[in-house]
Amino acid sequence: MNSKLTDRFSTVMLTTALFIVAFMYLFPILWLLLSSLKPGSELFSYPLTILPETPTVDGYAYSWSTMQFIKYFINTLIVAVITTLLTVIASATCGFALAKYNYKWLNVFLICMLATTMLPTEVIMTPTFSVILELGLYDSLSGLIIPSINTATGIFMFRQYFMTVPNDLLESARIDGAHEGKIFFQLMLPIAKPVVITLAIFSFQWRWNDYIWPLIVLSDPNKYTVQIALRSLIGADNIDWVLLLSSSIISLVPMIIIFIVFQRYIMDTGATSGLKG
Amino acid sequence: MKKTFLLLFVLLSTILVACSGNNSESNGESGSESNGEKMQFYVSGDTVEGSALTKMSEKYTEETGVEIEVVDVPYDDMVTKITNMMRAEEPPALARVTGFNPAWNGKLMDLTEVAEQNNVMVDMGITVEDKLVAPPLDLTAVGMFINKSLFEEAGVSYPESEEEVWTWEEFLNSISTVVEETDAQYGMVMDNSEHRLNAFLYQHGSKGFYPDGDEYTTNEETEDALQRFIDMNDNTIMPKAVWTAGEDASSMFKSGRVAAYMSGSWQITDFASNIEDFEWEAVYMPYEDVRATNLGGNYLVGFEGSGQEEQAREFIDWLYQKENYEELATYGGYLPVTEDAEVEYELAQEAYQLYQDEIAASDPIASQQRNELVVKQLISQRSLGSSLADEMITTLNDEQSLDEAIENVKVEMTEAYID
Repeated sequence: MNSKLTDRFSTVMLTTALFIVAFMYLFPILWLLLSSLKPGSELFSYPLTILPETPTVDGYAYSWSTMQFIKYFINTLIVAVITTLLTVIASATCGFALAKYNYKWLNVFLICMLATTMLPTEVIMTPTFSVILELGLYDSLSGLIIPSINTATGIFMFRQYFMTVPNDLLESARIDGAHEGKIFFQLMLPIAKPVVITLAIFSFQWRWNDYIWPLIVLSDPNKYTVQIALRSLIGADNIDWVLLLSSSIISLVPMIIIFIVFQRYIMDTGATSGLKG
Repeated sequence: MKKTFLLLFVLLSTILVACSGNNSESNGESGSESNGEKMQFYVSGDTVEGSALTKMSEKYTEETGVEIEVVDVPYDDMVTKITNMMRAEEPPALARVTGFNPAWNGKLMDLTEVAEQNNVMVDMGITVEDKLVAPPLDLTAVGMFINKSLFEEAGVSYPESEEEVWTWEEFLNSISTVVEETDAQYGMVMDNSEHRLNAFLYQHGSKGFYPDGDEYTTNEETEDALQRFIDMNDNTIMPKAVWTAGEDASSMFKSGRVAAYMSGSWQITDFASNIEDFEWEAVYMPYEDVRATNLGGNYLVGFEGSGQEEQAREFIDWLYQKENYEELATYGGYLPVTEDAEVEYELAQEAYQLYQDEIAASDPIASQQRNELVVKQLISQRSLGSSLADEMITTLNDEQSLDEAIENVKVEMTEAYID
């Protein structure tokens, strides 16, 4: 009885804590959303009000007519989708090799790759830019996509996951006559579905929010991504808050939709299926 | 499964190749060959400023058939972006900028003739080796705004003509009274900006920081003025958080709880559209020894090597013509930079007039100082950020004395511009 009470008490407390933390995370977004429905004169009036006194969607109309959102969304989607697909494929194959093959130099290779995570983007930006220039990829979407495909984080995620897959599973597949390609595509990749989805969501989010690299590589405004367009609204000495708030909300919408759709695919899969206990 | 992946891979590779619209082939041969390429004009903040340059570019296209693409670039990254474009040997035809990079030196078009033909105030532009490489395009000036409603509620008067201009002593007494008599939280706010602080220094007789022999120095008045500035940051006259923690001075003033705001002419359009809870007014700035503002604004530059130099020159010439320039200044709410411009502003005409008076009454240091620093950005090997502002923030945080701050600024400027 006592333990039941304790269980219930801790459940209630934990749930309450969860709601408080969730609210703390949501509050700034909520404020952004409510502020975007306020007219400019209400944004800074004292005392501050959470709810708009005279709600208006004029900001959205103004934002939609001022910014070429469709164009920016298409560009950003092209970059984010292609990069994400290639990142998942490259990271999975690389992670699989690092986890399941025993060659001496593979570990050296892994350490080199992990070392790249220790360098901030800004440090490697100049040499990367030089390479992009030499390859003739300046001012093209490929110039955004190609340098972003390899991420040590993704490779490491797959490697760690594949390490947990018992070698017996691979051995039994080999005994059954499966070659390495088949083992990877038909056995390992389906098993790693949660990692695929998690990395895909992360990668998509990284590319969607990329700012500094697209800024440097792109010079044609027709190839601008959403983040560059948004930053362009911040002037030298003053900011058109009405435009910035509504544009920020519009730029969030595709990201939220994608997250809602794909979140349900994140699930755990037993990697031990097919093995005798 | 494997086939699907293979197909996917081939498809992605194809898309990647398709995305690689390589422009390096057309280098240097665009525009002038009339291959239908638009002329790119890099600006920042045009959207915020009523798309003034976009409207004028469209008008130019209607009149001449030459297409101009106005590209809005984030303000903070304009110089970085253009410098990288120059590395890629693909500079834009034109740009509107406030800052420069040494990499641009020698690659900017000489616009002396165009500026002189159109009565542009060339002394406000950037001249390197007798070539005007960056004429001014629009002008901003530091100025003072007050919350008129609070002043009236407290029964405190303020100067309404140039004969009545207040001293800093009188001004500080006035805002202290407003704070006492009303529910105003602070007497004034000043943007966290070296540009605004310099105007305050000039008004106290400071000559800023200048080279003397082989090092940078300053006059005594600078120290006295900076001491006064530190004393004002007492969380009564001025909130310390604006300078030490980056709180937004503009939104504090818009909240209606601050009596005065030292900012500049670029706020007029915003205030006219977005303040409804109280009455505001642009007023004459206080002074101690000399009347001074600090000029700012944008320069117009054309790049050598864009392949469109001639069209760029023709467009600049067209833009500075009296009628066109007046139209541009009206759309954007700019203070004009041509001698004969008469601008009818859509909002707060009297506020703009007051700024014109401020500029006319200002000590020449207001423009000379800024241009000197910008020229240094172009011809020095190093460019210095906001050295004085950074040192003052450290001082306001009680991490160093004022003397140390001044010494540091001298050393930093000497290292950047002389050593």
